Amino acid sequence: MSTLTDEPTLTLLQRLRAGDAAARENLVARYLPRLTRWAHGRLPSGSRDLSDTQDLVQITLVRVLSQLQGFEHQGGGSLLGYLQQALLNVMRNEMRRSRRRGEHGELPENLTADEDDSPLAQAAGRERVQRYERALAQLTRREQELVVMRVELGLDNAEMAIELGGTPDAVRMALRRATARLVEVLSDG
Amino acid sequence: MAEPATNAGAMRTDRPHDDRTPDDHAGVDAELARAIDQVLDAQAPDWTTAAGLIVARPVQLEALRIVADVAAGCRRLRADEGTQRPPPLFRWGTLEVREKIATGASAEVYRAHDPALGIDVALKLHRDGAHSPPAGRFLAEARHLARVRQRNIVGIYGAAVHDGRAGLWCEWIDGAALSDLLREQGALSAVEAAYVGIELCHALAALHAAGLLHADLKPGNVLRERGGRIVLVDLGAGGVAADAATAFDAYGTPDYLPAEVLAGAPRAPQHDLYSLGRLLQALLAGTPGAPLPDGVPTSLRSVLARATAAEPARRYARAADFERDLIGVLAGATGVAAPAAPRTTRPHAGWIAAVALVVAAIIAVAVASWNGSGAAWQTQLTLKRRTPAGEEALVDGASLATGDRLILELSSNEPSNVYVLNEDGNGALHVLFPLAGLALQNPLPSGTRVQLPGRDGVRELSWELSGDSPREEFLVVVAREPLASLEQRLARAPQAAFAPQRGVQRVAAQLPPTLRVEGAGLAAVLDDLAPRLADAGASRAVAFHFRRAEPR
Repeated sequence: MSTLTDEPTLTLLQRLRAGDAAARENLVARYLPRLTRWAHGRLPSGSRDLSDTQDLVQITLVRVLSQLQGFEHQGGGSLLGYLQQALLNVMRNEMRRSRRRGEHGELPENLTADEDDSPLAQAAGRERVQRYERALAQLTRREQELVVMRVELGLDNAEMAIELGGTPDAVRMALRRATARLVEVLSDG
Repeated sequence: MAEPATNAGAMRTDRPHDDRTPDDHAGVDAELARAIDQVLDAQAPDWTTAAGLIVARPVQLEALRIVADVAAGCRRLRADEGTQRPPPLFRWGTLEVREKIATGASAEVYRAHDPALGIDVALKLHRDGAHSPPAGRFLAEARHLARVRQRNIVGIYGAAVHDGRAGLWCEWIDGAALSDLLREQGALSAVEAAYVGIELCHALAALHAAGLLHADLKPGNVLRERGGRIVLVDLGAGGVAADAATAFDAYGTPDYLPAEVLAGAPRAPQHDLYSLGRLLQALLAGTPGAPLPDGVPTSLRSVLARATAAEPARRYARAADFERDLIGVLAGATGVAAPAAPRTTRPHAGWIAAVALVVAAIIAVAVASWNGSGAAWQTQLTLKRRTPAGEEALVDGASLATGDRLILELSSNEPSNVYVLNEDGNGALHVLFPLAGLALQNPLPSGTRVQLPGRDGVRELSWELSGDSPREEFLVVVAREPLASLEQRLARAPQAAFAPQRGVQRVAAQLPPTLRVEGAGLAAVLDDLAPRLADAGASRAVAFHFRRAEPR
């Protein structure tokens, strides 16, 4: 997937703040497919199909990018991390609202597929995903961003360097340390 | 020739096990770091890496596997991004059936796509036939699987009846059955087989704890996922242990079943453990029932002999016991000791602490010489091992073991300054030469063959290989003039004082943590020296790489 172009996020962000609407579209286009996949994997599988999820993500991105005063790129965080965090909050609300059954009514009773489970929980195991998320929450914001970008969003070192600033090599080292921290926290819990 | 008193170790010396610091597990931590990299790069961790960590870092390995599973789950959810799919063969419920994978007596297996989950799944559809179990029994497999969630057992997503056909769908495993691997790649090594055995013990322990048994354990029912995960599939034969007396007469594969079952005895969880023993024999020998090859260590032979004993009372009664003994085999085969004070929830993790540390190594480069015809300055150096029989030059492919004593032999036609550095798999840097207290100091004399480290005034010394690092690298720098920058770097480090039986102090604590990568300390030294090394007439460097050999 090549939704991440080489144009630095910072440049697009400056254009956006200068009132350039094309920059916002560019940013939405850059992040939408990846964040849609990510969100779809984390919403309860009975709640929304992929195109519904895409609508949710698109609305969120446009809204967040229109009110960017909450985000300072130089503050250490990346725009992608900021958007992912904002989306996570929206999704949590969504999940609270829709706690209803899906369409698997014909399942034999007591069978696994709990429609409250996200596709990710079903793919990797609910208990494992929960342990991962609890441990992740104990890392610094920066460490969380690094781990989420690689493990959950699948960005490679070069793509992460574009998002975070710095060189791919520096990203690799920082990511390795953050993951070692995550393993440490997981080992303790 | 035993010379323990006159040939004191200078590199590192072993300390009693109860006195170990975290640094003593440098090699293991390097393995963990490598495994983290492999997970981040979505590569398959290699068998022996995982094997060493199973013994020494079980809790961290399990933690890393959680990260790996989440990453793999996310990858799977992204997998079909933007791809154009051909129309499905047919639809079964909401599933789009893509491809037929296998046809068995009682079922057909397809690859299908679940649009609700957005991922590919394996769909098993019941097949009516004279020898098929009823659909109700078929759906029972789904209920059984649903009761167990464990990473070594295939995960189920659902089961239903559509268009009159019963089916269940579960994880799509991107990998191959062990039976296919056996056929294509031949028998597994002892380490690989023990690793598979340990993973399957986890699966069986979870099944048995849920009151289930598998009842048809064989290489064809075990998959190895890309990335190394071992997954037990096809619980069609298994079921609730309490029903076993009546339900399982017709299931199973004779090669993997104990005699009493073939004679009609009621099935029990212990029979799965017998089948696992037979399965491991098949992995080692290539075909079930064949004699084990010569290379299989005695420890593994006796574990398997117990697992498959003719007398049921001699066999393993619990998966945990079987697993514990297989871990013991790994500990012996990989030379990795368990943590001295294990921070673990495993009840049996402390019992290996007394295992001897053994490092075997392969030397990649042993002799270096700069004798170019036009070169005015000629140097030659050889790395040697001291043995009771004398000295032997280390050549490519040689194995090293803990306790091996090394010396460096050097000759030059001009006085030379020599620096010998060692870095282990954890990035801990040791200065081996020059050292305060040695008789030999820079510059070394010309025209004669000198041996490093030389004498401390009284005794003939050597460097002694110790510890458990899977990797040891040596960098030798030879220069006509003293290398001030390198000497400064070494001076900033704690004084690398030579003291017999104590070993040199480590420099690693002084290095920024970012240098804790493979060979990073040495790489930094080389970076600094780059301008000097550009002129081979002034300075030269050679690196020696040691790696752990195949477990013996």
